[in-house]
Amino acid sequence: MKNILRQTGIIIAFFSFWYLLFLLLSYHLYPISKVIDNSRVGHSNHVRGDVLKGNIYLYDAPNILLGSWLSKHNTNRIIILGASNSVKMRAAIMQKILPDFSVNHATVRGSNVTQLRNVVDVFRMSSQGSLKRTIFIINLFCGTFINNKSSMGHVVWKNKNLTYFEAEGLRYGLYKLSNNTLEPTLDPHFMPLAVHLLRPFLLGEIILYDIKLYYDNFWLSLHPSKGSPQDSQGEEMKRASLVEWKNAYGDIREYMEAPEMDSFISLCKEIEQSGGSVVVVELPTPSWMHGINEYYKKYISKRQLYINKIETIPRVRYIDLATLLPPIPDADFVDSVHPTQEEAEVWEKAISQYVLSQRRFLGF
Amino acid sequence: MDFLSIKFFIFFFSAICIFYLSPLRYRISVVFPLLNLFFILTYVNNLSQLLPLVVFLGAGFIGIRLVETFANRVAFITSLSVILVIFVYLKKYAFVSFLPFISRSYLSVGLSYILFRMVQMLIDVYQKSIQERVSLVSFSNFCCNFLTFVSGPIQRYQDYKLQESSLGQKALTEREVFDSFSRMIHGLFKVVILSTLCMGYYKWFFSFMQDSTVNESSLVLCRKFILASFFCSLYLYFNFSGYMDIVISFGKILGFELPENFNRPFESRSFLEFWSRWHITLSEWFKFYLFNPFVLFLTDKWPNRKAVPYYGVLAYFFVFFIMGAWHGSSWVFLIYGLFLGAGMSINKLFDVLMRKYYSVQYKKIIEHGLSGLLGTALTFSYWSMGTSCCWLDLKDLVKLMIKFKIQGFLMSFLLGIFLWAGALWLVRGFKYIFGRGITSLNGNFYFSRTWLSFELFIVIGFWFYGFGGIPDFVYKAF
Repeated sequence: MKNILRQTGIIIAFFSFWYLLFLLLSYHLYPISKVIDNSRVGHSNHVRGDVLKGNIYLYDAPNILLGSWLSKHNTNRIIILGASNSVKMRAAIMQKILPDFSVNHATVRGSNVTQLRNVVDVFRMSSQGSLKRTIFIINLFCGTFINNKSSMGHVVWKNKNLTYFEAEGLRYGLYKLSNNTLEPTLDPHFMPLAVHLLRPFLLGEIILYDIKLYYDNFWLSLHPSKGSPQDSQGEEMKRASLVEWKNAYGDIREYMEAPEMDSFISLCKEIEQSGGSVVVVELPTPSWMHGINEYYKKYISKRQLYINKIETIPRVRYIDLATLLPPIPDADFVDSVHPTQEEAEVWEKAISQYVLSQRRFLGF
Repeated sequence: MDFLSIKFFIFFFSAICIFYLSPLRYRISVVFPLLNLFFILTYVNNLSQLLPLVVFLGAGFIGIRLVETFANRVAFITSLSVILVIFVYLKKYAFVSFLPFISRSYLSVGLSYILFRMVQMLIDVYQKSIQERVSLVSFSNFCCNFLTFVSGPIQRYQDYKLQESSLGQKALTEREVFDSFSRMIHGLFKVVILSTLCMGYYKWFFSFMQDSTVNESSLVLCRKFILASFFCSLYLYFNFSGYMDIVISFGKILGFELPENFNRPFESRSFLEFWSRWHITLSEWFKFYLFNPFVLFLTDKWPNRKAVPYYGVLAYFFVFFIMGAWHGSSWVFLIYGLFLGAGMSINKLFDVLMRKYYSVQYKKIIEHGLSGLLGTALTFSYWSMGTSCCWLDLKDLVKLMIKFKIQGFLMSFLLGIFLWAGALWLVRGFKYIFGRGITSLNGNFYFSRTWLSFELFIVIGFWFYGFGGIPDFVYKAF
């Protein structure tokens, strides 16, 4: 027994060395501010084609799930929500235009209304249920209203009736599912400490992610036809994109159903009732898609219904970004929905200016 | 209780403390049965789910008692038949699907391994290899040992009994404890990281294969098939041998010497050798209790000295067909059984004929390094193709057979030999260059501990990273 305890102690001591080393490295290479504003998301500029679909949530969700507990609660906050076509927006740009706000980038790829709600819930939990002094910028497009059923394999994790975001929450053991909602397993006061303790392992994930990213970029450089911007307007890409929509969205009859829209409206209401404000931003899409994408057409035909309802909620604003900006050439999109980095920054500046102009209405 | 859970590690370290702090005379009679019971209870939601297992164990114990008491053929055959019938019923094999099975869920984990242990005891009691009376405590400890309950290794009762009587009498040295921890962490590394990665890659290649269009060149299709097969084999190996490393090292810390199940199987130069290195305890079991009696039966029935080697060929086919079929309850595993049986019997026949007609040259060929490399690659390629039965259902397998035809499989097989020979050559080169240096570094106190703790750190990190994607122990299903 003595020898067992002694050897256990020695291994724990050596393990502690590695743990502390990686903890220090994590603070050095990936400071807290980066966790909160998710600024490393700039790396996802390269997301194109099919090659990068695996494990994408591993990267975005931990920043939001864990970083939200470290964000500042006592200042004015802006939280950017949205799907993959928002990830190129940078918190730092908005921060410059709105310096008295703490800007948090919390977009998660593949987000539909359920996952938007997941993110809002996490921020609500991390600020003790209150969303006062918080503006949510919710970036929408026709893909936001995809329901969980038709998006199997895209939003729903391993057919276990969990969104990827929820699965991410569960895997650290810091959250549990209660009534289909993530709930922290620890007392909120201890959550920031737990987040700090997990940092060495999160650092490992980021390193792995970067390795994968460099590999994928290398792969793309070898197979330029799979994702080069030059062919983003090509007929082949358009056809492939429509097939991809069909695969991810399933039956058109099940798309854009009332429950998804109602769920979005109630999400806006809940935010407002918790003291928060919302700016719903309709993101532009390339013009070539408007004529041929049946999902887009259906979305446009029903959009006004939810806009009418949203505009009646206090401290909630709706803008169609396409009407604020000059016409966007198709070349500023890398595929059917994703803007180029430069275009995403133009969008973000326009949104920031809009928030600035609407401060009073939003309660600031 | 999942072996890859924090709960299990808490249970295990608590078990060590309770085990070593309790008086020696109560360790086997009270503490160990309670630990086993606690472990098994974690697999069920209510006690009624344990009932089929209790019935199965009860039948086994009564059978052994009957054979001990009456010591005749009728008692033996009756007991064996009852055990086998209950087993087949509880495992819900496809060939008895017409039976009214129990509709409620019950504990079926570890049933196959309990069957092996009980049959072994029954035969050895009948043949007087076990002389002393089997007590209920020894029987339950042997059959339900929490270390071996889920997936073995299959220990012989006589070996277990020897250890039981000397358990805790000798303290473990520091070196032994370190080696056990070291093996445990290596095992975790294999299961958590290597098997997960290999599983990911085999599924990746498999999905590519399924997406393949008819127009795709057959060479591309063969490449996908053989790579999926290779990664599936590696996944099985890392998963199962990693699990064995964990279990054997746990056992060692508690004072048990559990038998080894793997001995670098992918270095085997022939299919015959492969099965003396892969799932060793299962192969040994089949050798003792099926192969040897079958050869003896044939020799008794047709006592022709010249024919005896050929009886081996036949026996190999029979035994490995049964072994393959045992791996699953669906029809595809019969094909797996045929594949294993054919591999073993062809290999044995080749061996017999070569020894008979080209004895001297054959010996020289066997000893040559290049033929060894080729033999190893051939063995791995053949076995990997066989494992496709584990990841394809019957419908997909038939589809593949129609698509591939004989030449497709042959091409995959040859491609596999070429690829694995290349991989082996690289590994051997690496070992030749760095092997000595690594061995001497491992002997250094600080280096070995630093490296081991780093490995543990990586395992924990990957455990978070691969949440939900880390495979369960593959043999748990048996």
